[in-house]
Amino acid sequence: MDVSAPFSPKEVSFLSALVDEHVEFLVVGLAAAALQGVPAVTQDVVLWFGDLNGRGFRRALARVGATYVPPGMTNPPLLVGAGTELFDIVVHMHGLGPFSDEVGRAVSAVVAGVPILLLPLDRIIVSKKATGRPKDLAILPALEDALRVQRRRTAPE
Amino acid sequence: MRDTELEASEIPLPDRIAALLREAEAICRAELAASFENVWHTLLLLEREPAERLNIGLTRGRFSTVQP
Repeated sequence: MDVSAPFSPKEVSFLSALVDEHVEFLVVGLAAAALQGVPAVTQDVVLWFGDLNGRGFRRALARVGATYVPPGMTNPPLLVGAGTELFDIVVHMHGLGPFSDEVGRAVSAVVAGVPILLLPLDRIIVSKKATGRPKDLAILPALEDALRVQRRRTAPE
Repeated sequence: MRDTELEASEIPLPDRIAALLREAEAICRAELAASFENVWHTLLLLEREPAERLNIGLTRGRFSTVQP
């Protein structure tokens, strides 16, 4: 296994199935931040789906033998099954517009050969500020400094 | 080339690292609210492929008892 690869083969299969089935999703949170160069640590990869009721989403899960557990009284929406443990899912992001708006601002990356879309740093910052949780506020300086680097590098000379 | 504290040390810096150091210093001069540590580590991570960056964040996250 490539030690520089963040995903196991099963996790890559899951992401590939989502892409193959044309499921719209964004990588959000600190995983998206880390992919864009933020020195952040995280234990999971949060995926924001536009539509969890679509056939493509169900087909992608079936391809890897995973199951979707809808949100209940105490549990958030969950993915269960090999290759999905790393991934958390959300259907709403605090402080942001609807998925259909945010996906239009997404930045692209290729990870383990899979093309994925990321929530941009400026929108991650908005969402972290909106939640107001101490752990989200604590990472703001690193996010804002990475955005400064990004903007300086992309600014016209 | 402007001398920096690191460049003035006895250990010669590879050209790329020296360039990144100058870039970090320039950003921190222009952005007074910026932390050199954050800027420096961001620049170093941007030298790597996105997958490597995520792998570093996940690996350190798995072994960290305190999450941000």
